[in-house]
Amino acid sequence: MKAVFRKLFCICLLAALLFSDLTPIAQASDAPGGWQQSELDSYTLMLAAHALLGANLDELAQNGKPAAKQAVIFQEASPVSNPLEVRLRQVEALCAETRQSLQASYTGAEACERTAILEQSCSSEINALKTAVDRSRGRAGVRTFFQRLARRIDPGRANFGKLLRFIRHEVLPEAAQQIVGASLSGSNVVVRRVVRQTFLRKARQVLKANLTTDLLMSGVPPQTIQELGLPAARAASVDLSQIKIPRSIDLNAIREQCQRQAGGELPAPESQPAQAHNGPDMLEKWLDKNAIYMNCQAASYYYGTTSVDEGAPESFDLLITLDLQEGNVVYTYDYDATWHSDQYYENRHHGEGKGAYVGDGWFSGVEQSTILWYKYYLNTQTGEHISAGEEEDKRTFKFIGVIADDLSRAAFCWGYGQSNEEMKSMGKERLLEMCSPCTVEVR
Amino acid sequence: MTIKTDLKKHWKAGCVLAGIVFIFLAALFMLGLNKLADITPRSYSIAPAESPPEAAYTLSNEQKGLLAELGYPEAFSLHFYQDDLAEPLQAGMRLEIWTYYQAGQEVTLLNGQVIERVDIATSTVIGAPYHPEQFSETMGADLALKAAGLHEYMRAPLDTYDIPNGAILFGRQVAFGFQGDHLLYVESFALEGEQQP
Repeated sequence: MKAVFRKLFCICLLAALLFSDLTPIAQASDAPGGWQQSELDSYTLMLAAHALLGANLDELAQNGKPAAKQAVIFQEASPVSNPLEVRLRQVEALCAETRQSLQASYTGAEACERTAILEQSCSSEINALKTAVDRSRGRAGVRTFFQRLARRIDPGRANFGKLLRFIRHEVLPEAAQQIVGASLSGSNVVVRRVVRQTFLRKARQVLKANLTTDLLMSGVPPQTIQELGLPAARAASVDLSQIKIPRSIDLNAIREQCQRQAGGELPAPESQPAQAHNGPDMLEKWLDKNAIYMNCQAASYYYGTTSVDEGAPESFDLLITLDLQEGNVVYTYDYDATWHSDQYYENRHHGEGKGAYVGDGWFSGVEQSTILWYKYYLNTQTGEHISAGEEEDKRTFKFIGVIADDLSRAAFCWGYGQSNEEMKSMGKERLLEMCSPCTVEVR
Repeated sequence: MTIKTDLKKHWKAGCVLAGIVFIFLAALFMLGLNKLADITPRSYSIAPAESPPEAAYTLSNEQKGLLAELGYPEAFSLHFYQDDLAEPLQAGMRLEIWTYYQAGQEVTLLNGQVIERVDIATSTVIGAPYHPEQFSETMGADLALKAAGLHEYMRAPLDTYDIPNGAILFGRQVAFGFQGDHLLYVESFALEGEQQP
């Protein structure tokens, strides 16, 4: 029995130790003379509130943007409909339209391959939307949202570190500048007040209500979102570039299956000539050559943004090859983008485009690109980079290009919102003016 | 006989031990659940207030002047704290930031006195349906919710690493920050509007 009691005693002791370790010993703000409301606690509460509303404190450094600018509410004259259902209908319509377009533009194995990729992508998108719509009809959406919020709310893990980093790198340098400036001009300054003012000014730039997407995709009904005072989702139009191609797609399997289906009756894509449309083509007389090479000054990912003013490249060199025998269009590029704004950026871009000549000097396809984002704060004294490390961003863009009738020049476009048919309807000359210019060489 | 008695003894001790282990594990499980509940945001519904409460704070002359000049701000934030540098020691402070997006003005006030006035980019917004004088530092959560006329709100507790006993309450276009039952922060959010078609 002694042994049993000894074991019991040990277990109780272990439990007591464990429980006492998990219980906070004292509350930091319980001052001996009563409750003290700390100024920093008030600011921290504000930052925590903003963090819960979807703010990323790294974005505090975006100067000059009033907070409400970030909170967009779209009022609709019609009764509120579920934007998820609207998007689902749009995606279904878009998929059906694209399916028809593919069947009209392509034949044989190529049509088979493209249709198979489309079907898998559409199916994946539609299933995800249907799940979200189902959630929005039940209560699961709210639960999912709370789970997400609960994960985000762990200030011990993330927010406090961000707060300190924000104070160290954003608030103090600017406050120090003001204090020195005021001292030099002979003004009396209260250091603490300057720091506080700077802190508040910076903190006000936090994104306000960027929570809608999270709520929506968690399946929270739009009415509930609006009742919370958050922006209602806009019934945005959908284009094909917004539909992600699932990583699970096995292109080789699709190709093999399509070739089997074609059964030799139709030419495989590898043996398809450049003339993929009916009637004589402007490239017909060049079929004895191997390829058309287009050297383009392609618009970079940063084209038209303020990052270009801060040193990011506006364009990069891009070599596009149109294989005259097979009708394929391919390109690969790599470029680095470095610039300095609130932080230092050293991004690496890699892209691979694959498409086909569609006749009459037009070619189009899809680009898969990867951006390795590396941003850091620089300690100018030690040269130390303060960074969370690299982040990888994968994107899919469609592209379209056009070759002038006399092959004197070409143009290349990507990242546009219109469909390829809409782009083509603008006409060759317009696109040659509007898109990135290319020189042409036939070899 | 002796072996039988020993087995009986061990069997009893085993049962006691298993019971204790079970209770211990159950206690740990409950503790875990309790911890999880401490950090899980929840939504609450409350009965609407019968009549809107009176103003909890008296506006200063400077604030009244601002109202006459620009009207009520489209958004504001309030911070309540004790300033240990002020005289008398540990004076209660009420820091207010009134934002007028349409007029492109932002005014910071400390205890009712304007201490900073800056120009900001103008934008068309839907103002928050609250006024700064509705809230004061003496309010607990119940009173603050009543003052805002909220029927529904979300409460997000913050664990003890960051703000001891801290909690954020979100309602329609408003957030409250509490430490214990002390109101430290109020912020109303303006939303950007779009022209009706």
